[in-house]
Amino acid sequence: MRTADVPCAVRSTAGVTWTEVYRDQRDSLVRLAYLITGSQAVAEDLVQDTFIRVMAKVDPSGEPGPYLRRSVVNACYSWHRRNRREVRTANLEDTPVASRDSQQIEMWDALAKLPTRQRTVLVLRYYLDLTEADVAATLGCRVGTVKSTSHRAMKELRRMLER
Amino acid sequence: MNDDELIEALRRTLHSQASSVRPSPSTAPARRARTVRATSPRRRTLLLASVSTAIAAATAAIVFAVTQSPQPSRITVNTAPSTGPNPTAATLPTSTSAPATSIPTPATTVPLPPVASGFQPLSITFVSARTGWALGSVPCTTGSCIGVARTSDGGAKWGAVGAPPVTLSTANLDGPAGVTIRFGDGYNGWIVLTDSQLHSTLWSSHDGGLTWRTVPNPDGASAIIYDLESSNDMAHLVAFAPGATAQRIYSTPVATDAWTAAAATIPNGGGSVPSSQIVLLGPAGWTASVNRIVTGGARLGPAGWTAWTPPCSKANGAVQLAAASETEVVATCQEGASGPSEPGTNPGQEWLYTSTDGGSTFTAVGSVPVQSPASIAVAAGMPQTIVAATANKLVGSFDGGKSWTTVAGATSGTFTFVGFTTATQGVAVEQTPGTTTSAAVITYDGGKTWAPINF
Repeated sequence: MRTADVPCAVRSTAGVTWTEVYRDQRDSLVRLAYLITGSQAVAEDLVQDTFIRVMAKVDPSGEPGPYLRRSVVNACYSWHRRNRREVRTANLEDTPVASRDSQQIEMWDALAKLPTRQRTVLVLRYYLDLTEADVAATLGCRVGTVKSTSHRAMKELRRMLER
Repeated sequence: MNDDELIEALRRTLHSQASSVRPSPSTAPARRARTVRATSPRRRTLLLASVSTAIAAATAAIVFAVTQSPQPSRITVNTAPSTGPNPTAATLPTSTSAPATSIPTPATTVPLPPVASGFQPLSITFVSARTGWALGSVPCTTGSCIGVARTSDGGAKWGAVGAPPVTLSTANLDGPAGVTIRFGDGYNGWIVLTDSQLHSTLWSSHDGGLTWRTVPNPDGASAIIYDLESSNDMAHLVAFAPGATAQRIYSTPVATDAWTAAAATIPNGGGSVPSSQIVLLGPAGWTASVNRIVTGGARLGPAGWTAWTPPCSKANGAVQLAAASETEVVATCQEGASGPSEPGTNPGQEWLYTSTDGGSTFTAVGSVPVQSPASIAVAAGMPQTIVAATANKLVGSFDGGKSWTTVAGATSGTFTFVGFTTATQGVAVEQTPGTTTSAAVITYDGGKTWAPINF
């Protein structure tokens, strides 16, 4: 049974505070950032800084969930762009291993080899279960781009797993 | 695998990995417009625990290595003040201030220094196909000291990380005393060092092996830790204190050193050479104690460790356990070493048993062409692939124990350990008794062929 780890929309009632939003959504955003960057340490930093930036601009009662998610994803991209030369796939190797299930280990290793954008699309589609439209809105691209990126990513995953 | 199966496998992996993340405790940042962000120590309690004097050498070595011709593996170094209580701790460089609107300086990946010349592996642990550590002996001014190496590419290249500043005695290199390294994930690991008096010292690292600190032996300073293993974000050890009536099992979340005792205990037996083995796979686990014969065991389940009768309890000999999955367990029994053997077997034989119900029941398969293997292993998810480590060779079966073949010969020593990380990748260690000479081999094809690991 999958745990419901989707960032929830904040109830749009007066009196919602950023403390409540942080409490409700921080951990799930850290997990999202971890799946994209491969590092819990980096994920925590990126999420913390995302909250700092978003808090300065957004009213918490206005359902900041999708905005936070988009900001975290963008922060992950920025981080990858700056560290592209050094990190390669190192971070995804240095991370907690959830299971000795060999299929999961191989799948996780294969995900590590995907380009960041492909990995991000797969995480948004199959971890958060977002629709293609929601993925497109998160990434700021067209639905067609999401479809093609997802298709290429799955094709590459299959190629690596069947090698 | 069709598309639906691939998607489902992907979903399982993503959710499993995400659920393994335990975000460190944090409070909401204070809301502010544009303020200069104060130096923010990394909240790396998971990565930066107390440091030993080894960190000075490790830090210097990392800086030194930047100027070297590199082929070592790389490690991510988080720069932040060390906040450990160890009074001998050196302080890592602090991160610099940054404006509130910019993302803080991310972790920097730096190459590791080369492994010290003369490194002799004694214990190896892998947490994934790529990431592993080897503990070994290295020549030092006091004789032989502990060295620790790490790989991030599945064992092709290794680099040196920190190590407890300990001189190894002859007893550590041979005999019942020993030294073991185990990691639970990329950051959290332990070293168990047992001295000639059979007292065990425990060291932990929470930064991938860069630094190590002593941790109180949860069973007391005079206790021996028979085994320590980690899985599913938890570490477990089994120990025995002099004068105690039974062995105790202790567990801790991998990110901390908060060892708590299980209610279940294991009889130590009346013999003179007690030992215990822990086998973990995901959330499941088994431990069996041997003191000439099987004396008892425990099984790890949703309710924690509970009493369990291991296989071979009536074989009057030792037992070795391994697991391919949470339900598929393999055991080899030393038949009739200290009494009658089990029906259908002959004294002196090593007999293979398998379970498909998590160890509740076992079925006899047949004899194994070795006697008293030091260690057995079964490939993850592939219960038909079994490898046994014995004296001067590794023997493997690829049909669930129906037939066996020698898959590797020792160069000069005795195989002391064999283990699989995945369905295809595993390692084995051999040691030459009475010397510091040892070697390690690795397989990438499910145990069929083994090649030396070059550190």
